[in-house]
Amino acid sequence: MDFEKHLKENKQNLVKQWFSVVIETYPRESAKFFKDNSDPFANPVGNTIKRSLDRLFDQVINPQMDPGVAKEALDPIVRVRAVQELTPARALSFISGIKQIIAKQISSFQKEKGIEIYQSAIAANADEMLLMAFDIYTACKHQIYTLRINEAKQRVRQLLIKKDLICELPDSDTELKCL
Amino acid sequence: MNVNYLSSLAAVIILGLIAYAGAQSGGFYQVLFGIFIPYLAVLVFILGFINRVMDWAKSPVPFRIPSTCGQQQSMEWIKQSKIDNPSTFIGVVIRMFLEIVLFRSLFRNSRVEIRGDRLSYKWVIWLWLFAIMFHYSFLAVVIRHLRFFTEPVPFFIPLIEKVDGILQVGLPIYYISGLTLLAGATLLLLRRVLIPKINYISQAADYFPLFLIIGIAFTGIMMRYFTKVDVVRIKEMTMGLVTLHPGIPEGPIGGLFYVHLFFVSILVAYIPFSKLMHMGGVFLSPTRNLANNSRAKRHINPWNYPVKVHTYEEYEDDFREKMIEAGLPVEKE
Amino acid sequence: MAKLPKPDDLFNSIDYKIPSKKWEDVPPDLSDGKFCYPTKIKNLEYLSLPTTKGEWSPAEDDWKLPDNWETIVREGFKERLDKYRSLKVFMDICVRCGACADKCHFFIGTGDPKNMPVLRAELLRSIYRNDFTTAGRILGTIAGARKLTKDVIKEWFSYFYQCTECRRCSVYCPYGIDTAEITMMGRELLTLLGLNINWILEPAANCFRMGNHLGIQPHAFKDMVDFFCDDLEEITGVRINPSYNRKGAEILFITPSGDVFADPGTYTFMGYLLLFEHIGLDYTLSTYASEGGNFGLFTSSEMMKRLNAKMYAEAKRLGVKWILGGECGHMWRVIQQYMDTMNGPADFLESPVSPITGTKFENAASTKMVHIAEFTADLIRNGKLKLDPSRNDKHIVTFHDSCNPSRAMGMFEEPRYVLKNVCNHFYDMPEGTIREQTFCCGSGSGLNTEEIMDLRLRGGLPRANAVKHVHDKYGVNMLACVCAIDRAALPPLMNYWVPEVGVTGLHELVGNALVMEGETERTMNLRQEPLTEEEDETDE
Repeated sequence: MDFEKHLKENKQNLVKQWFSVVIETYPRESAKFFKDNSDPFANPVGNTIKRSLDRLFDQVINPQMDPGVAKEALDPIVRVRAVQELTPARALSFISGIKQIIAKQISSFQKEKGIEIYQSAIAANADEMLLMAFDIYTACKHQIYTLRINEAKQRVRQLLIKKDLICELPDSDTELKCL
Repeated sequence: MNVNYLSSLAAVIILGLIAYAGAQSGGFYQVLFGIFIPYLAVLVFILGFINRVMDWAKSPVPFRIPSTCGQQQSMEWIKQSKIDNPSTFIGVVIRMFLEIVLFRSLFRNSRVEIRGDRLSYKWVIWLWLFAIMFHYSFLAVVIRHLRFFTEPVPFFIPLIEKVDGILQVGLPIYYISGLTLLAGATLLLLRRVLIPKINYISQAADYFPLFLIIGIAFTGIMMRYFTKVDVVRIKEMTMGLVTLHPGIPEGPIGGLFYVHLFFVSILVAYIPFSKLMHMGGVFLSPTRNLANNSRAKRHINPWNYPVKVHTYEEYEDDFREKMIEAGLPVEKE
Repeated sequence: MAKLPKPDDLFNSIDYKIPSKKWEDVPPDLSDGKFCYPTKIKNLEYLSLPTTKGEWSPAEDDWKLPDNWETIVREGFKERLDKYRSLKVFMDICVRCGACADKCHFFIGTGDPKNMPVLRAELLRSIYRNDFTTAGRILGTIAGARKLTKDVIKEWFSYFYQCTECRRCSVYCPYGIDTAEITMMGRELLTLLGLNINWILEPAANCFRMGNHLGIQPHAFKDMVDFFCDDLEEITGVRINPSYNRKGAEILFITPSGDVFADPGTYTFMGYLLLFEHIGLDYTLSTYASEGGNFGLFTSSEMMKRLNAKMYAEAKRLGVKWILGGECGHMWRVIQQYMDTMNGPADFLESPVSPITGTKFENAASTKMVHIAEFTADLIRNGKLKLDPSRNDKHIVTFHDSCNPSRAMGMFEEPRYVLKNVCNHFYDMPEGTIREQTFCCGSGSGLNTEEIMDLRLRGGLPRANAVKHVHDKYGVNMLACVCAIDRAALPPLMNYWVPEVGVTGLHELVGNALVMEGETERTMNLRQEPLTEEEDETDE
């Protein structure tokens, strides 16, 4: 299909546009830093986003999207967004952006056979990605809360054991350590 | 558009116009801009500079807090980084020298890129380059101008002029430093205007001196290469200023010269009250000018005062019985 | 098939563009999760520090500042300008060149412009100009001055507790302006108003009274170390009986108390015990000076001095010759750059000499305190340790240079030398992320509190990202460090960003590798896990 070919050929440019959509959610002063600094160690945020979008693009335009690959590509970017943004809507809004970017490309291919089916496949892909992203976002948030709880627990665990306030279950069927 | 640089630009233009208008009015105004203001500016500079440095020096350095940028002095089989983490006075002198002469810390900016499987490092040199270009051009220009304030002209000035004019182009010969000063200042200015991050942190106090220096360089270049002012008269006037026999020479000197001189006066007087004091402050920065030897040699804090501590005796009083019970030694049974 | 919804509509429904305003006009985000919990007043009272008019919350409008708060800040500021040349010079000479801007891990991770070191300092500088400089008084905002208001105080609280005093920016500054110095002053001024955070002041108060951050009582401290000895006996078959508060010992050993009660620091502590037993060191532990860390450093120089005083006092009381210090970051900033000046001279101690190798530690001649990594490196160099690095073979190790031993001390080669001798697989992270350019764990200077976990994970991203690189490239699965805060902060950081990588102290790996006299055959490491992955499956 010509349109798909067109998208593939213009991948670099389209991913760049998509990247701008994400970057616009940051303050102007930092956006340029995230955008221009290609040092993966000095600018992990910008580079993680770039890498993720690059892989996601291949999936979103593929009528036979591989959900496993898509999920893997989504994880790093959502993981970053999950600690930066407090609401999922703000964190994940960028995914819908690709629909708009692709829609802008479609005008000269309107007549192509099967374009509507392809277009709705893309939309469905983006929607599925959004749902997966929600899963990842929620899992990340859940993980953060677990980390918080564990940290609080870990801090006093040894102490509680040693003060005979709690017991640790033994590895095998022997008597309890603190008895 | 940004009010910070617009206001700075406006201020410099207005100052220039005032001086130009003054010079055209002649008489009293020429004395004002040619004699009175320069003297006042130099006086303000000297007193202000001394005052500021004395003020810094008045505050002690209570702790030895160098930023260590290399391996410490430790056992002899471990190679110490003697410049980036100096433990001796000599090391500090070299570190400061490299800092002041080569802007070493700025040079530290590097950027990594992954190409395939390999990491490649490259220097991010633009800020460093602009800064070096700007400061060294400024220095060369200042030294060249000593020609106007000395009689006979000391040997090193023609030498510098020769190097500066190495291109041997134009008549009078182009000095590279004038151009690079203008370019350096302009590039530093563009950086502030165009990079959003830098733009965000910049204040009027950052733009003003840049515009002023651009104004100085611009008027200087105009006088030398285009309007061709009367250098002999100017030297007569400047020598009068240094020998404390000031006077306005007979005949026209040109309004541009007064603008130039007024800009310089403003800059000189402005230094002690601004960030331009970094020229003095860099020598006093405790993270750079101290040796990292505070474990080997005791550093004295002049205001060190006794504080309330929780003594061992108080501690034992709190826990004596429990300590005895646990078999821990105590002072008082 | 229906047509796509109009993309523009979809797009515009979410307003995520951040308005571009001057930084002075952007208020700090003080919603829940964005700030550290304020200290309880009782901690302030216990440490005889000024208090607010009542318990307060950063999320509320009224912070219950004392009535004369403006005077307090102004006078406090003036006092500090007169006491610290660093502050005065750093207030005056910044040219806002921007070299520091993208060096801060919080800026890199959050993108918040006020996390650029230059702006963090401007928060203080703008008030300085207004109150203490001629230009600021005359020209006002044009000279970058602004008036001190309650909103400024809130902004200070927000951003001076988003700086880990790691000093990375000071490495790149052409004038050596050190934001740690600025943050310390900012926090001192806030503390004058009774504004401080619980995660710093509670440990400080505990440490003052009980000798350590958690308030472990002397008998409990002994119990816990004895408990390690039980575990060690189980692992190695060797019984160790350390002494406590023993007069006449040659060396006093002080390490952060975090290593006594929190994993994985506990394994590091076990490593120390094995090492000292291995070389037959004549040392003692103190319950009074049972804390190497010093949360006073994050409060004020006076509080730092009050807490630190115990080290020398205890060394003097016990009559030891010198002090050996364990693995800790900010503890070593205090020892290297402050201790001797504040609480010295330690003329009752002797210049440190290793009793095993005879090496004189010239670089510690006056402070009389040696870092354990220096001590161990010297032992290995002189062939005094019997090591079997293959016991660490399942660990592919990289090393995190902790901020303070890096940029306030310069200890880079010693820990690496030890690591290369106790394990067979060691890979450094890329240049620019290690040594003096090392990235902070994101939780230093008293910020390793759980309520700002998001912030910590953001701030630690640059560090984690470099770890991920060596994990992907070399299969690194263990991150070694010489800092107790790292040992507490890096595990959640790794868990979130690079879950395959664990965290260890340097001396845990030493302990694993040490071949003890009379030991039984080792099948477990100090974590009581099998020495190799294979042993999980194979029957013996």
